[in-house]
This record gives sequence, structure tokens and C-alpha cells, in this order.
Amino acid sequence: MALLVVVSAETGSPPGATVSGSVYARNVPMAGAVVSLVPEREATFPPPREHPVIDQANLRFVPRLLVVRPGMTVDFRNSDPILHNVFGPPGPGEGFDLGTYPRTHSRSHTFTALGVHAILCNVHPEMVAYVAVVATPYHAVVDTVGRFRIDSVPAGRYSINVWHRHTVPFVQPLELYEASRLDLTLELEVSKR
Amino acid sequence: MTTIAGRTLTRLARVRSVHGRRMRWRGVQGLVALGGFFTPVWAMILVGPAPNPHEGLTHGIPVFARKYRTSCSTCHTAAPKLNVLGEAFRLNGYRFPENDRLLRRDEPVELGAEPWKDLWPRSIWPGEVSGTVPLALRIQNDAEFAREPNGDLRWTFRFPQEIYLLGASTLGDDISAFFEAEWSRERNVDVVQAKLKFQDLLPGLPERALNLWVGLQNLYLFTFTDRQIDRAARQKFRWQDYQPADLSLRNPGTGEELRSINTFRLGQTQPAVEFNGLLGGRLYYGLGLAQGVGDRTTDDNNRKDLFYKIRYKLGGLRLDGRYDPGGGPVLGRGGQLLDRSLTVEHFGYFGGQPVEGEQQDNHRSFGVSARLLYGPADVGVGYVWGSHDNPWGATIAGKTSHSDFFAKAEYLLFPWLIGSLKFDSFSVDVPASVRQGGFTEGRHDQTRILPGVIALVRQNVRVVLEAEIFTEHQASSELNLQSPQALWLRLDVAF
Repeated sequence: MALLVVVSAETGSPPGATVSGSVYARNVPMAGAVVSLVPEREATFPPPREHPVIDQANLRFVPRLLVVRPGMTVDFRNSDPILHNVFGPPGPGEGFDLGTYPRTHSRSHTFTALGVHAILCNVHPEMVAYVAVVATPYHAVVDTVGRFRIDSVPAGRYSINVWHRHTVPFVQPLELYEASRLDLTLELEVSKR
Repeated sequence: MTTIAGRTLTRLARVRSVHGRRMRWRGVQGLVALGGFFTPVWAMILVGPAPNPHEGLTHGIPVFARKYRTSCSTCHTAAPKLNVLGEAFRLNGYRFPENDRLLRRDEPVELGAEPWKDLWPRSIWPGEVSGTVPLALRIQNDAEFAREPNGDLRWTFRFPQEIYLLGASTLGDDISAFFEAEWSRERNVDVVQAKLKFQDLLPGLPERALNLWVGLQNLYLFTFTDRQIDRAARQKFRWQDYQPADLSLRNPGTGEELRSINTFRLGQTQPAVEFNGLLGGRLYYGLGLAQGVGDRTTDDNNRKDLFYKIRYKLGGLRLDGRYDPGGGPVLGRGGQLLDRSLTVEHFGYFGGQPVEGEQQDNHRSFGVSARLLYGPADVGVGYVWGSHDNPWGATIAGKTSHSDFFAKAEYLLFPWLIGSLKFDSFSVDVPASVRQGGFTEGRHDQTRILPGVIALVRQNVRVVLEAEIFTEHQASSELNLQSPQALWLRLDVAF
């Protein structure tokens, strides 16, 4: 686990800090990793009211990765002309099972426990989605070339957390100053399994 | 944009480790060190090796090349001869030693998503099958120039000589499969290998410490000079193919011929169960039970053969595919992966085989070899000794022993051109009791020199020119052997 930082300052930039960077493991871009900045000082960020949707289409969960805040409700829709099930094995939370339902139907679950929840369909074992519950609005998903960017982060002390399903969780303290620009290179450790 | 590096950074951002220690700041060039494993080996896998001087990177080649979108030379010096990374890949159940799932470029068909593992034993452990058809073909065409007993050289086109159907796939994290079927002029269609590899058999043990390989398989008693692992040219060494039935003795008084029916060969593939593993990254062990000879459907006796093998590699890329701290690869002028290492191997094999009169011929063999890789040079020597207690069964009592001293020197003149010289001295001791029984004619001693040249026309197309020169042969006078006895020109292609 390693971290390299390049910092710059620009005049006329928007308020707050910008944290961007690249995420690699063994020099492979870690697309789909979730990067979040969690304030050290306790802060409450009320969850948005809208319900994000995870669809089941063409035998896949779409999107395969969703980042939400605690207390957010996610709607699970079935758009396939076949029955699908939605259940979450016990992990960060207690687990849940929304049952099996046909096309056009939708059922919901509210995520409260922090962490990454796996979502499975017991009719089609190859289907999987991940819902990452993070206690901060400052988060991003790493793109296909390994880059991410989080804007307008207030100055303060944070911990930067990175999750990817194939790596060991990455956690580092980070202190941000007003209008600072951080470009991080994060090297993650591949998990054995 | 102004980029500020160094100590002044701390005025703008401060990063501490999780334990409260300050991170050590490094320059941009420090990324290599921070990455830890960004060695040229992994760079080669990720971006491909240096181009063949004849063309750019090739992609349309067999199973693993398709899976990783990489070229043959990532794992082979001249296929099937493996380089050190290819051997680590093989030992690791056809996975790159580090980071395999990040390196693969195909999209496997998942047989259950990964989180189902968390539900075991209430779920089936997830696995996968290859997203592409995991099959490849290898075709060998030989032009053979062999000397006839009358001294003439006969010129034969063996087009093709052999065709292989090769299949290999990982079936999830720890299981993989390998299949090899061969069509040849001599044996028609034959399944040569069909095996499963269960890696990291028991949780809690060090990584790769205990694996189980089951199926019809090459026992790889030596990897040095093995037909699939370390054979650049055409010919095998004699100890691999020798069978007691090869020794033909004759009684000149009666004209009677004495020949064992024991057709056991150390180099044959067999149904076998093998436990193997790596200890400390450099010590490899294998211990197994094999069927012995037989028809592969029913054993021909009620016992199994036992074998063991030990290998230790000093220097270079470790057998687990990692370098020791401070170590790193040796790259050839063409970017190919070379090594500086010394590998010693030892094996023992103990078996029994039914012979005439429902008797058993118990046999055992031992071997020791040493191989030095020094950049483009690959040299080694080996010695195999074996004995059979009762090869003729009820016909005549007598114990034979045989030995083979062999050596090999190869040099990579260019990434596409290898010079090869092999030496093989094989002898069989015929017991005095048999000679006294009147069988005074016939022996099976032979000494050969095998010079050769291997040229890669493409990474998956090679041409081999190899000669066989006998300095001693049991039938020298009969066959009118002269030098060279035979010359082969092989065109070998895999796709």
C-alpha cells in the first residue's frame, strides 16, 4: 500500500479542495474502485431523498456498482422477461431477501450499515452488484483508466478510503487545506482471494 | 499549473500513515519503488515483450496467449521450451504468480459470483469457465533423412508427423485443467494428458505449499530436458524412452531370442495422483502414486508405483515467480526474459510390472541433474540410473541395470535463433547369468551427439534442424551406422 502526492495551487479555482488521482494495483488501473473522503470530525450528511435504481437487464445488475449514503433506499427493478431474485447476504449488515419477482416489478431496500454490500440473484448465481455505503458525500468511482476526481471538499482532516473487490482496503489520513489541489497515486495491495 | 514537490508540500497537504507515522516523500521516479513489484517481468506481461525482429507482437496464438492477450515469448524461449516465468506459471496452476486476475484480458463465464463464497457451505463455491474456447492446435512436419543399413540416406517427408490438440483452462481461483491429445503416424490418436490441478489444497498453509494434481499426466521427474518444459529441439534423451523390451538378446547356438515383455518407460504419461508444492519459493517437492504401465483403464497389477522429486533453484526468478528483495530479471538484447540461476533436481521412482509367468519385475530409478542458466546460455548435465529385478520373469532369472549420462548446452544467439548441442550416453548391463545361459549376443548401449539449430520464424512458427550422430550403438555394424545417422528438419506451428 503506497501513496504518492503531487500538490498544486490555482488562482480563481472553486472553493474547497480538489482531490484527484490514479489508483493502481501492481500497476494495473483499478477501475471500479470506490474512493471516499470521510471527515475525521463527526459530521452528519443527510441522505438524498431520491431512490437510486439498480436494474436487472440482460441477466445483469445495472449499474454493477452504486455508492450511497446511510439511510438511502435503493429500488431494484426487473426489466428482464424472466423472474429475478434480489438478496443481500449478511456482510456489513444483517442481510435481506426481496424475494423473486417478474418483469416491470420493483422492490426496495434501505441501506443503513456502512460498508460494501453484495447483491445477488439466487436464480442466476453469476449476477452480482455492489452497493457501497459511505458516510460522506465526497466520493468517486475510479474510471477505466484508473482516474478519479472529487471536487469542492471543505478543508479539514479526512481519512481517504479505497475499496475494490480484489484489493485489501486502503485507509490513510489526509489533511486538506482550502483551495489545495491534490493529485494522488494510490498503489493498492491485491488481496489473496 | 504549478507543481510543487518535496518538503513544501506539507504546507498544503499532510499525509500520515494509519499508524501515525509520517509518510516518506518520494519523487515521481519513486513510483517504481512504491509500486514494489513494477519489475520488468510484470511490465513485459502488461505491455508485451520486445517485438520479434520479423514482425510486431503476435496475438493469434494458443490458449494462454489468447486469454492474456500476450505473446508466446512471455512464457517460452522457443515453445514448448519454457522460460523461467513460464515455469512459474505452470507450477502455479496456469496462473501468473502475481496478480493473475488483473492481467487476464478475456472475460470468463462466471459460474457464480464471488460473494457466494461468503455463503459457503450454504452455496456452491463459485468458479468459472473460459470465455473463449480453450483449445489450440500444434502441427509438426518433419523431413527426415535417415541412413539405411546399406549406407544410403533415405529422405522421407512426414507431413505431418504429429498433430496435437491442446486444451487448458482455469476453473476458478484454485482449480485448472489441462488436456493433450496427439495424432501421430505411429499411434494414431492418443490422449496423452488429461489432468486437473487443485492448488492450495488446505487453507491455513503457506501459499502454494500443497497442491494436488490428478489425472493422466506427465510426471515431470526432471523438468530439465523434459519434452514439454525444456525441449527446444526434436530428440529426447534415451532414459525417457528406454523400456526393458528394447533389450533384445540372442542365443547364437539355438537362434533363440530373449526379450522382456516389460514396456514400462520412465518418460511415459500415466494416470497418477501427485501432491506437490513450494517451500520458501525455491524448494519444490512432489510425491505421488502412479498406475505404472497398463492399458489406462484397468491396472495390470494390484499395486501402484511411487515417485518423488525434489528441485532447488538458487538465484534468478524463484520458482514461485518472485524475485528476492534486490533481485530482478536479466533482459536480453531483444527484451527477452533471461535468468542467472542454478537448479538441481533429484527424483526417485519405484514400481513393479507383471512379466512372463505371472511374475513381477520390480524396478526403481533415480536421477540427479544440474542446470545453469546464465543469460543467453542454458547448460546442464544429468544422470539417471535404474534397475529391474526380474525383467524376463519365469523365462530366465537375471537382474539388469541401466544408466544414462546426458548433457545439454543451448545458446540464444538472437531472440529467434538458438544453437543446441546435446550428448547422451546410455548403457544397459546384461547379467552374467543370462550370458551364461547362452544369450551372448545383443546389447543396448549407445552414445549420441545431437547438434541442432532452432529458429523462430514467428513466435509460434519454428524450424528445427537437428542431427543424430552415434559414436556408439548396439547395432553399429548391422545398421552400417555412419555420421550422421539421421537428420531432421522440423517445421512446428501452433495456433
